[in-house]
Amino acid sequence: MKKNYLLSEREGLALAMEQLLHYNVWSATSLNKSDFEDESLLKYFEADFGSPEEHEYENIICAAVNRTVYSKNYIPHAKKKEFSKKCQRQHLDNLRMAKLTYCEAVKGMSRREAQARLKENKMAKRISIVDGTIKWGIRKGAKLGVAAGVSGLITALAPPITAPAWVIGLMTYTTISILPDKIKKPVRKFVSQTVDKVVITAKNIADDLAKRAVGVAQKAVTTIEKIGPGAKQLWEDTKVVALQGWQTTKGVVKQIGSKVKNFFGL
Amino acid sequence: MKKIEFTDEQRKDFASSLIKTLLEFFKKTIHSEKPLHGKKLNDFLLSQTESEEERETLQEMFDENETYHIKLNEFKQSGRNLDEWYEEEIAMSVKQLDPNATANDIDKVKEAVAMQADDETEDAIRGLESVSEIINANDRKVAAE
Repeated sequence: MKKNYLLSEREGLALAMEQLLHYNVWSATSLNKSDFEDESLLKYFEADFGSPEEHEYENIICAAVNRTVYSKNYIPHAKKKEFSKKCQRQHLDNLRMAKLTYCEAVKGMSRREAQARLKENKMAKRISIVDGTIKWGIRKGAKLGVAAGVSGLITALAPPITAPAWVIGLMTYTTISILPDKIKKPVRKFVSQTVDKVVITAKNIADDLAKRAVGVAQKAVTTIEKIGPGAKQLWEDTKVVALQGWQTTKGVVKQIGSKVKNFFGL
Repeated sequence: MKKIEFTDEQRKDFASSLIKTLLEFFKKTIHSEKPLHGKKLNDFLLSQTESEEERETLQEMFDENETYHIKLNEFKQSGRNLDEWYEEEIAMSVKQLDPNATANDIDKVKEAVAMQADDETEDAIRGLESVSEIINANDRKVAAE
């Protein structure tokens, strides 16, 4: 059976959650006043997608993040390389997502196009990380005189794909700090108009996920019944797992939905 | 990765240092009288690093970012389905590592990436908590002032 690695319900939910996170940040009223009055970043937001100009701004941002990480003595030296890479990737993610929202708010980009670009960005990011990890493995392998294998790649891939929550939090704080008001203002207005729709979308995705989880469990019972003695307990366990998954998902969405709504006083 | 503990002051210091560094880099590169582009820009940024490890880290990110833009552009030009494109790209990358890699090996790599992607849901949720925490701390500070 062909597996779908791209658009699972969980990933759909992840995208919705990321948007909630992103919107929550945009609405951070206490950070209204930007410390960063320089408007250079407007050019990044105005640059064509995939243009050399966009690429150059991203490299400058990476260099600034990297220099900042390495210049701080409160960050343990042994952690700097990994931390710097996670911060750089997270900062780029934030900016790319912010640019899409800006284009929706100011340039009339459709929600459909923004979502499609968001997914493309995500896939290209994964491919670039796999590619970078392979090149790194080959270089290290050559130095040590050993060939890097697929199992080595899987081990090496485990840490870099995602950033832990505390890195996301820290970098989102810094991203919002470097954006000038000319970007923040129109986006904040747009976000306040659409956040409720996003909460509903996230809830619908979660409901769909929950229904599918129960569906899978129901299919499993037919097979389990054929296995014979002991199957009943297994079915009971399966139901418990499905139910837990359902409740957890609903609970999380409810929690996040209410947080976002409270935040906006809705 | 084990959490690095930041105080509110360090968090603020980190953000303001980043702003200063970014402004300095803008001024010295694309906004200077003789703007730097392409390889000259990257060479300048690499020259601002202060250790071999720092330079290597930045070079690796430049390479990763370049791959990101090349791949995204190739996809846009190809007019292909995102799902198929993604699967084929991963397969090609694994073959680059090991030309004898089997279909099973390629599936294992895809699964490893997909598993990480699943974690993104939880990360995004925890990230939301983390950002709320920062914003609330900031709110309290503003209120106290």
